[in-house]
Amino acid sequence: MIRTRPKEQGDQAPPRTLTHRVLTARQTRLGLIMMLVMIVFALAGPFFAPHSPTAVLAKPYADPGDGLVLGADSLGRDILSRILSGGANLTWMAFAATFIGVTLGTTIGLVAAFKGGIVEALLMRLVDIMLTFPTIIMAILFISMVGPSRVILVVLVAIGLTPGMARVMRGAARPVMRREHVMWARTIGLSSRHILMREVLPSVTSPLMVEIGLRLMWSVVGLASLSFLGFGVQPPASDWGLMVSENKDGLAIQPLAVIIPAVCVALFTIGGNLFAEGAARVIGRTEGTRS
Amino acid sequence: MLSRMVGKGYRRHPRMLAPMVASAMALSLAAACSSDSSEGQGGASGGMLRVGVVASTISTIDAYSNLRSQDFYVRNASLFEPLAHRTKDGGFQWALATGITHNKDNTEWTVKLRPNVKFHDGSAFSADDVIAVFQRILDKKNTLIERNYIDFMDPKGIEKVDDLTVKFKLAKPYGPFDFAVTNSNIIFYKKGSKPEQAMGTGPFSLVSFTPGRETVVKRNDTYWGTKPKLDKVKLISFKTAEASTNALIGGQIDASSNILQTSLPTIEKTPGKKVMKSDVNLKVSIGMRADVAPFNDVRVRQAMRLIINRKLALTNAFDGLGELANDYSGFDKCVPEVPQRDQDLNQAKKLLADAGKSNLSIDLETAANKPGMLQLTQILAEDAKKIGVNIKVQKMELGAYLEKWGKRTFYTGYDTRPYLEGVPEMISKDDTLNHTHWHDPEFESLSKKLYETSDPQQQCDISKQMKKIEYERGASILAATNPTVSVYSSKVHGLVPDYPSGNLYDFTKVSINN
Repeated sequence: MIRTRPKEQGDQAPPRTLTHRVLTARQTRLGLIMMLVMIVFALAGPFFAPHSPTAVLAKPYADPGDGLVLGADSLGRDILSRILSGGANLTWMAFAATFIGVTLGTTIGLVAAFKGGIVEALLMRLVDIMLTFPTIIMAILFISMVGPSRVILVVLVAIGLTPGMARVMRGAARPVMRREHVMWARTIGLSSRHILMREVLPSVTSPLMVEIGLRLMWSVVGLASLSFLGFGVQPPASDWGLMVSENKDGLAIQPLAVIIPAVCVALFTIGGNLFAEGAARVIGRTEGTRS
Repeated sequence: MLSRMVGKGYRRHPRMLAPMVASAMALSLAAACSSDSSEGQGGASGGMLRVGVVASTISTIDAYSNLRSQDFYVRNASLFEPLAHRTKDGGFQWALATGITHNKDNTEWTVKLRPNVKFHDGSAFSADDVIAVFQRILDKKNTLIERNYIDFMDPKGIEKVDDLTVKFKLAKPYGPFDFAVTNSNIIFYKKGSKPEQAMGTGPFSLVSFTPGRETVVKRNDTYWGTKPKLDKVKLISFKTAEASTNALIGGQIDASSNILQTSLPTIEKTPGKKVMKSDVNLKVSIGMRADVAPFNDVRVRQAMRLIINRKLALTNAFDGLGELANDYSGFDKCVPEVPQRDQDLNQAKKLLADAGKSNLSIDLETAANKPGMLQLTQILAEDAKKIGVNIKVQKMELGAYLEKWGKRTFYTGYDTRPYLEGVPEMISKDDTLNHTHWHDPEFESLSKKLYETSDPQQQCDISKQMKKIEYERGASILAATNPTVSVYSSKVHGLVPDYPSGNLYDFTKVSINN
């Protein structure tokens, strides 16, 4: 029996070094800073709102003035207060959906790659079926039937993220299964859970990191789109996507109520994308150097 | 719409495009979902008019259906006709009838029908068709809303005198008979025809109908009246007023009468669009189901009426276009002597405390299918917060909303009907009609007197008393009235708002420059 665990080999750098490289790259830093700024803005914003985001204070689309720094929205509510309060829901829901979607997708992908054979075929066909349904359309259909709820929204977006995530993780995990340390773990009879969590997962952290950034971005876009379409966060709650929808009719007379929330969503997603792209570049360079 | 950016930077950083493309896709998807595309333009002579209507996918082509959205009324007005059209001065413009007479004690009424009227298949319209429709409405098994307008009739008392004369023998006197039978929803189709044939006598005949999507009608060349100028009318269905407004701004439809008033400043700046406001307002109502808690306590109902800031509702939900309302229905000049109700949060709080509902928390459901409806609910919810009442606004899809119509506890609706027409529903025992489930013995007793007399002055005096009861203990919050605002392309001519609804129903005089 082989008692000593073989060292990891192949094209994977030790995770700690790679993570350090990823986090110190200029593009990923810029992306992280943008995301962090937007997260802090979204979560702390409600505490700085000068008025209640739902209080009707002025005439619809009123100009700035009378204590309303940016003016009033379609119902006469303070635009600034609604912008400051409009990101909190989006942020927690996007993180929750990403966490659930990434966890589910990673689990399916790793199990498929590890088990192979009929299990892999069944799981991947299930994933293929899920991929054929457009996420937003499915979400709209489901919400139309059961009504909008924040928990349901999170679950629907998470389900939308799962198949793509599963395919990527299966692709990343398959070569890992042929590595010595994984074969050693199988040979000495370690449990499947142990092998997946301790031997396989650490070897796929690089693509996982890239995917988390991308999936978070898609969660933000998906949730904001659903709110825009009237199937996400419901009025009178403030939400950036909902704000664009509620105020688009007054774009010609009060553009701030549309432009600022749209920019907030864009900054959030661009930050996530910069991070994901930067991480992919660093990993690609490392792989290139090693090969 | 999707805009495409081209530049050197995008080749080097293709992934940076992703969020922008995603946002643009989301916007295009939003536009696609919020507006139904309509292709093609009219025929050779009169062209085709594309009208936006708010509709549900559960809509049916039958001339009589209890699940109704705007498309139902607009389609019916093109395909079918009533006995007469009511006019603003209280008179009638005769359509399928040419006159109605009665005996001295209002127990026998005779309707003379218009000669030489043909159905869309060329067959003649006659007394048999009129009797068949009245008997269908009166048949309790069919549970049609219209039965409430004519439930004073006995089906056996309807007699054919000749092909163009029908006699109605009533068990007891009924004064406003002519008003009741000229209800615009009592329309006539060919006896024995199938609902999907939509075999009416109207100025247009059916070409196609797809529920929740569109109805296409074409000019009826055998129409007895002034023949329409248009070749075709396409009624394009939208789920919300917002979607209809977007489609109008985007040029996908030529006219819509479900325009969000908050969009008017933008629309007025859009070249090639004309705005038309109705002469008569509609009342957006918030209904409170009076037979279940918490609204089975009149104090809770009155508190809700005192919570809402009506002036704010008028300016911010309805853009200041209508007038304040005072918690009683109807639009006529018979106004009861009661003060204009205004916001009184202290009194509301006291009433709720007396009723043991100080920390009331309740869902308010709305389909937001009329302009200002969603905004009105939000204003009420915000005002309620000030006295610790939690009203959670639930916006729902129209089809799902209508499916449970009559079973909701706190919900929105709207009314454009004259008082004489609204009262039968308010005293009905049918949930879908009397959706507030409000039964007041004094109100119901007065309603009997209201329909016994044909004297307008007496009717007015009785209706004043009834409205006072609605004001004091009714089950609807009627905060402000709201005109129907229609917008249409400047290439459309001859559109007139329907009386009294204000919607775009009559296309007979319309022409379009294609």
